[in-house]
Amino acid sequence: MLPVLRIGGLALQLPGLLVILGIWVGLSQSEPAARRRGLPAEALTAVTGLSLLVGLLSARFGYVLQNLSAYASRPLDALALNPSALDVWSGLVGGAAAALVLMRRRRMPLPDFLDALTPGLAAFSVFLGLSHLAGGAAFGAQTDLPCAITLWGARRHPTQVYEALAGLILFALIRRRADPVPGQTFLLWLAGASLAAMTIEGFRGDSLLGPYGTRLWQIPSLLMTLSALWLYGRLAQGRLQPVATTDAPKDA
Amino acid sequence: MIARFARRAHAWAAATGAIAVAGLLWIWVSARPDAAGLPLPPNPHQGFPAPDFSLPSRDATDFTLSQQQGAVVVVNLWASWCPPCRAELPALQALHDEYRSRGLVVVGVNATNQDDRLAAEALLDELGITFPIVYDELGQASRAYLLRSLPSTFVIDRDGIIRSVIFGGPVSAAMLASQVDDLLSEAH
Repeated sequence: MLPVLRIGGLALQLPGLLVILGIWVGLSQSEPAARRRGLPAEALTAVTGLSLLVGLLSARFGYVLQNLSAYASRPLDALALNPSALDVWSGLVGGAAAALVLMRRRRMPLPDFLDALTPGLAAFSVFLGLSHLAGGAAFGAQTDLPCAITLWGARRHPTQVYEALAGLILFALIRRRADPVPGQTFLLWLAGASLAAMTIEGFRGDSLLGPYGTRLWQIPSLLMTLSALWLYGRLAQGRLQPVATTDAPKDA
Repeated sequence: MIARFARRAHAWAAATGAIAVAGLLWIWVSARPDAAGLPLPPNPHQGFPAPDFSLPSRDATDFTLSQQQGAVVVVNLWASWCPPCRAELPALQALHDEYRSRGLVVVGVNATNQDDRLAAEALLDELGITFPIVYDELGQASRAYLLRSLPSTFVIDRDGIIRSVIFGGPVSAAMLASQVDDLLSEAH
């Protein structure tokens, strides 16, 4: 675990740094994938970058709105550079909405866009696992296995390493994949990533527990896996047509 | 290969069904019915009990963290030579002034083992800091909280569990107030 990287007098937060590195590597993997699909790579980078920015701003705006009484007397604090003051769901909604609008303006069909983004998402998930390892987050349950790591006063499953390895395997499988129907590559990655998340959750030491000790996040992960597989099958069997965000051709 | 297999509707449905069954089985096997209520060892990480410390305070009495249970506690590790630490002390003072009456304890742990106590005292006087300050001459709290960067701030709930960790600064008063507000509203 190395939450803070010291370079001379500078203290860098390694988990955040790894996330930023993951975004950069992810985009560099998605650009060639976009070209292979006939999409303008620079447009994909612009849409992704702007959506991330809007997502970040939405996350802060959502946080401020939910804590209006705290910010009302100190409005300038809403501009403070602090990653703790973010609301994830507001960020996701804002980022997704921005992506849809920008894709429409750039005349990029959603399924092709998602397929091009997939190698980047897979690469990013490797860095997310490493970021968790650096910060000691998403830690594992106690175990005596030889692969255990010592973290938070106990020998634990290296769940963050499992996460990074799963991401790496999916990246290797998906990197140059070209499924016949647009959207299928993304769905296959989504199924694999959700399945990996559900499996790894079973080794976690910080799971949110429900009735009978059920690890609650496993349920949406399994549902996501099954939905993605079902959609993949429907597309493959021609029972479903990929949805386009625009009726104009992508190279128009 | 997968795309070809997926075209066979019945085979694909069977494979998806098998994954559903295997997934449900894993959810059942990996459940932890005995885990609720198991005590965790103290650790400076979100979700763990806050490591205890007992240190001499500015007014010459001893401050013991474990004696604050029932209160929401903000522990801030700082040093006078660290610019973001200096910048956030007024925000912590504002938090102390606003929430003390509702059960908030703000404690500043001066990393005295890597600071000059006189310089720290002078800074506190200059900024008009009145919330409790303790001096960590031997690095007891720094070690217990695995101090890697200054400032570091830990928000602890009424049950002594760390709910938020903030490395670096300066933290904004509004962000801390929003977290403290939520925790003060929670029942003990």
